[in-house]
Amino acid sequence: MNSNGCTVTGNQEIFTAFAQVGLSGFGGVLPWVRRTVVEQKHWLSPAEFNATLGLCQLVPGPSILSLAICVGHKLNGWQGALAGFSGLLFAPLFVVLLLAQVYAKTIHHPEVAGLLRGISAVGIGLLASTALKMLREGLLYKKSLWITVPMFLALVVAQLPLHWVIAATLPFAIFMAGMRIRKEDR
Amino acid sequence: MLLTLFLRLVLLSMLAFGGAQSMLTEMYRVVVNVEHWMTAQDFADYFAIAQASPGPNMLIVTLVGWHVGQWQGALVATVAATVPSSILALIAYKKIYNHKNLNVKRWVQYVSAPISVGLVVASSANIAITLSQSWRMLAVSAATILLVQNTRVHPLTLIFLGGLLGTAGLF
Repeated sequence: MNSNGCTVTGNQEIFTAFAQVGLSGFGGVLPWVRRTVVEQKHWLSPAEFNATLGLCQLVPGPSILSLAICVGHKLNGWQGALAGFSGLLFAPLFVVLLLAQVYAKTIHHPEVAGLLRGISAVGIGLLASTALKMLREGLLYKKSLWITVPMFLALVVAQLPLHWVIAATLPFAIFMAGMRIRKEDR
Repeated sequence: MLLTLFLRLVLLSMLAFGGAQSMLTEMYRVVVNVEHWMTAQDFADYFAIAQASPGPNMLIVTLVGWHVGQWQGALVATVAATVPSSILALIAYKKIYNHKNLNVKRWVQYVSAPISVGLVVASSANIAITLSQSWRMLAVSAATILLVQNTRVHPLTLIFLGGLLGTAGLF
């Protein structure tokens, strides 16, 4: 048992588990991470998993990689973090680069161009589904729509640059969070 | 050029609240409109390849890097988009997650959640606007949303069906 109260897990086991997750997930690997980490390996309780995922989504960058790192770190310190990170990334990296080689050799065929457009159309739908799910479950409190909706208008309708929109939204988001916390504490 | 690629992607990943998905539109703007590293069609093709590959959604970053500088570019791009943000996540995990003061956690969540949701939703809308080339593609995207929301169909099945329709020359 380590300080977190978990059975010590080897780096190799962490690497293998995340490599399997990486290779089985299409259109997002999150459900597979959850199945492995919570249901099969019991590395995290469901509540712990949600809290860690929430945190990783709040930090900028690919959240699924951050999640692999946090889980790895919990199990085995920075070595575990490295094992989770490389496990999740390496195998899919080779597959995608292999596909890129095939693409470069075959793109002049109209069928291949059509194939990619068909996959794109489905991919756009998958992204939108994730976005809708986040909109339903990720807002935490109702009034945060006052932040999310203007952001949407600024980025999609007005097409303003991302960094300016974030810079303008941040003070307002802090203000709204303060209001909400004061209300909860009353 | 590799240094520019590195710096651009580090900056981009640091703005990607809500995950890789919210990077997509800004990455498109940078690599197609600002740096002119590839055409809109190239980007759309790489988006499709990344969607058809197993693994995290951020793999399009690797493909963009490969297009710019072959193997070296792929390595540089992947490291730029993942390593700095991962270190940040690890620091946040150690500092915030284990923080005794629940207030800190609450503040961080309440400030960031609406911003990440806004970024992900806006980016998905923008990528649909940017990459859809015909009303038929939009119809397939809409059908995908309906199927994902209402059935338990596997995403890979949908990708396969979409590819089949495309190969048959629907789009």
